[in-house]
Amino acid sequence: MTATIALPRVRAGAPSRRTLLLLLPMLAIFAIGFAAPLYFVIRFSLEHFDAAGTQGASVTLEQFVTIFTTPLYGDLILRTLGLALATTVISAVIGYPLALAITRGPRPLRAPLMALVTIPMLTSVVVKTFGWQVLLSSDGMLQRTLDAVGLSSVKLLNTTTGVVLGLVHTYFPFMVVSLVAALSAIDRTTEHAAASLGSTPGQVFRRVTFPQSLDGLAAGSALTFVTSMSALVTPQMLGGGKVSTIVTVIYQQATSAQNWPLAAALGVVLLIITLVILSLQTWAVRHVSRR
Amino acid sequence: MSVAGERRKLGSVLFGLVIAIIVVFILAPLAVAVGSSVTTTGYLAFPPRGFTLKWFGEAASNPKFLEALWTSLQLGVATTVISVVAGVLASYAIVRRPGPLTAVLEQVLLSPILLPAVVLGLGILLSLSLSGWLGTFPGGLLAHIIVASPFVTRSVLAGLRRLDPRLEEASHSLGAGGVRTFCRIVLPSVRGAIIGGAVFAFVISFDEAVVTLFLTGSDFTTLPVTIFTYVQYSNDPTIAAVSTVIILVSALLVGLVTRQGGRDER
Repeated sequence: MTATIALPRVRAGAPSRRTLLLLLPMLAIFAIGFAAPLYFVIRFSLEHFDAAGTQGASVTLEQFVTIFTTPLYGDLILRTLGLALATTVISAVIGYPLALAITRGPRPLRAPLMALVTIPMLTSVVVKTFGWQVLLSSDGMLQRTLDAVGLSSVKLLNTTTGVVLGLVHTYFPFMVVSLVAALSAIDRTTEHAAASLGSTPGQVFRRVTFPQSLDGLAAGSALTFVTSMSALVTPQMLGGGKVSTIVTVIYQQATSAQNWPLAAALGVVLLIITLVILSLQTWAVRHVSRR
Repeated sequence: MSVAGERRKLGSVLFGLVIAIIVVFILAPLAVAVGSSVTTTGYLAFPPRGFTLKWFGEAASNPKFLEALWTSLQLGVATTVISVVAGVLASYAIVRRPGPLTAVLEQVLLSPILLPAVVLGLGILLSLSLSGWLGTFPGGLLAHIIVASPFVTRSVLAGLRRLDPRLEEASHSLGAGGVRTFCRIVLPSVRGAIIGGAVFAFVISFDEAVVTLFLTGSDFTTLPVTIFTYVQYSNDPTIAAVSTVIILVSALLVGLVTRQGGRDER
């Protein structure tokens, strides 16, 4: 009897008790570990900072006013965006040939190259960055090579150059994975048709392959940008306190300085920039594919 | 040979060279970490001078590293088990009840992959310190599940969506109940997706440093966080030995998944 009554309701798409029960464990975890923390970040960003640690009940925008009126924080935001942009552009430049090799290169090389790309994705960022630290240090191989060829004015460790190098290494695999997905989705007959109609390989690439991979390039760029913008370990370990970003300042303010309202407000700024970039990418993909 | 043929050959040689440089770039820091772990010098040197395994002994007899390794392993296993159980149940509900509500829920459950980890770390720091759980294992576990479970959910969702719903209908019409169908039909069919997601969750948890840096205390610290703090003050090759162990653990697990993935496709 109950079964015959319950059945139509389930078909109507309303969440049944069983569905709720299945969702319950994950919902509980996300309520405590995700929703509540996000709420606290937003709530604390509207607090007044008091070294004594007393919490005001009032809501104030003073942290945001500080961030947007102090040139120091303006520079910080610009520098963070600049680092992410440099990382994204370099990742696209080196990721594209690699994605081409994985999708169109010699067959026996395709799988090993793809495996090679996943290695940095699955190695601890601390370990990778430690490797870079040794390589970039003043008596490391790269720096000594630079010194030997007369480029000793170029320093690697504790500089922006070193941080970008580490960021590219950590995040360019995301670009490659996006590009590989886009390039392998392209109908190869369009390329063959162009070639058989007399286009040179360069023309085929410029007029047929590249335009069809733009979706993947946009997705990979957005992903590389937002993840490299949020990096903490790389700027902290390779910047040596000389390259600060929004993220390293959040970390210092939250842990050593204990200025939670300022850390939270910078966190909200970072979150908003991330959401804007991700929505822009979604919009762009929709706009392009509709044409 | 024609000029065009010569040019094409030159082009592919250049292309090969570019790929070779990128490969060296990818492997360089890992090679340095592994290479400098066997140096006989008392400081980090690459290329290493001589060959010794003494730094692995040093690492293995350092209680700080051992405790952190033990914590990281426990944390990784607990994170994986909880993420898999909760992730499989939630994914099943989402796939079997498609609608606007579950679509939003799916986005939320996957969003920790894209949202800045620092914001999450800071938020969890705030809520844990208000509730007195900061610097404890359960606090760290909660954070790791949020960071790692999206990878399980994503993998299992994809697996379930490839599954033919008629299999379940057949099972139901033959008289099997919901639970029995789930255990006998659904779970075995998405085994590969679950294992893949589980290994990913373990590796993510085992390597996690950003969120954890906000949450560690004197009683709770993980291996990556220990390395992070150690390299700021010290320059001895012990840390290279520890890094080598981490690289080997990750490589081993990834190798296992790749083999599993190949088996699923066949």
